[in-house]
Amino acid sequence: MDRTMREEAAEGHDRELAHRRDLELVARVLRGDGAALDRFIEQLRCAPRFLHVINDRAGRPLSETELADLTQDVLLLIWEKLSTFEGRATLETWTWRFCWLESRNRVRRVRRNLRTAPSASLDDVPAPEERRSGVEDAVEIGLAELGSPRSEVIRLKHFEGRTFPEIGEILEIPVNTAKTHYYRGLEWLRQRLRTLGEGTDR
Amino acid sequence: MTRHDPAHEERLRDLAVGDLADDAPAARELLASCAECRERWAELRALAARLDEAGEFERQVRAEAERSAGPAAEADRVAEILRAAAAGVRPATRGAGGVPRGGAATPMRRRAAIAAIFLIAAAGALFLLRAFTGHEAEPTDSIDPILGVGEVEAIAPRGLVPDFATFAWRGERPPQGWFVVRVFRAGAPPGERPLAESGEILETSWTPGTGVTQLWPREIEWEVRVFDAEGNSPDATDRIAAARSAP
Repeated sequence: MDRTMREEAAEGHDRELAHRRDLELVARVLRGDGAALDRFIEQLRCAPRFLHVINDRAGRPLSETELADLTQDVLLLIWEKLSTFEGRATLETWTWRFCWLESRNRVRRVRRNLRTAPSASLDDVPAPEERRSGVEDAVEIGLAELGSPRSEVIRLKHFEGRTFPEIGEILEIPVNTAKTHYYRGLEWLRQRLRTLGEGTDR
Repeated sequence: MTRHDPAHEERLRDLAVGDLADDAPAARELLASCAECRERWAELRALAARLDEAGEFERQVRAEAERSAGPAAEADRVAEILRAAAAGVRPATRGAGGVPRGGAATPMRRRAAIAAIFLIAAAGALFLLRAFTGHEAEPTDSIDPILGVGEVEAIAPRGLVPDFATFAWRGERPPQGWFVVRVFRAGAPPGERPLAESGEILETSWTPGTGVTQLWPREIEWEVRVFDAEGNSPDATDRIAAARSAP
């Protein structure tokens, strides 16, 4: 479907507004604003849904009890880290990252415990979805190590499909700086994935 | 080791950001004449494709989560957990079916207990110091020594800390220079591969991301190194030891 430049610009503008709106919301929550907390809770209701879908896609390695525990831990972690939210991603995207990384960590821990248990009967061969998520894991780990602002530029480009002028506006940096961050970040990630034992070839 | 031609580097950047099409004459000439550029461009393209795939996977899962309404009890649970967190109280952990599970100390309670033990130990050490020396412990010099360009001093994390959220240091990098942080397991011998290494950092702090730091052991050592525009490293901090107060 052809999209007009005006539609794309409007969408980009809306997404930028969402970043700013979320940043403002978090600032109000941190100031103890009760109404803001209600809206914040409403937005964070995506967390258990994310965790359920991630668990389903991985072949349900976590039980309902473990998933309930994980939900609580993720929400508390988000709460603890709330003051570090900079509005570089939307609140939902930020929550997604916590859900993804924490669920991968939890699954690894559960599998490790099962393997070391004397009566372990877990199949050591990872499920196809697990092998697939290993690929995303390496990328996520690399991006997390890369740190801001380069990882943000790469995420905005590839995960949110932003243009460099949009990235520049969101991160409040010149377009050329956004491009330089992108290139240096990509180059660093290329080398890092090699050392993580994950070549860029599939 | 020979350095890659800076002009080639500039062209690779233009290719990667889309300012130069790979079928443009300048790009074709570059890729035909430089084996390193050819190899790196192939890898960068593969990496970009892989990032697109990872982005697509994320979008799919998020869309699926968007479609699934989820049980109402879960929505209530989110509100319960966050309201309790906002009030500074950790809610009771519940298993499936909303049955409370008691017994084990929660991380928050463990953290508070460890912090209390640490404070008592610190107070005890201060008391003993005063008892043995007969005078107040000397206050540390509150005036930070002035660092020259290219000198660097690590600030945090240092000692017992709640987490390894942000690494901070002070120092001025040379023009066009950068900093690099390397994190090691505690007691790692020289030459051992770091647990993590930052990219080129222009600021004086680095936030590696929770998902990564949680994979690290409880005790780490880290260093920050400053590089000049040529990639030479005029200064580096000693390795700084830090430990998470929570297990």
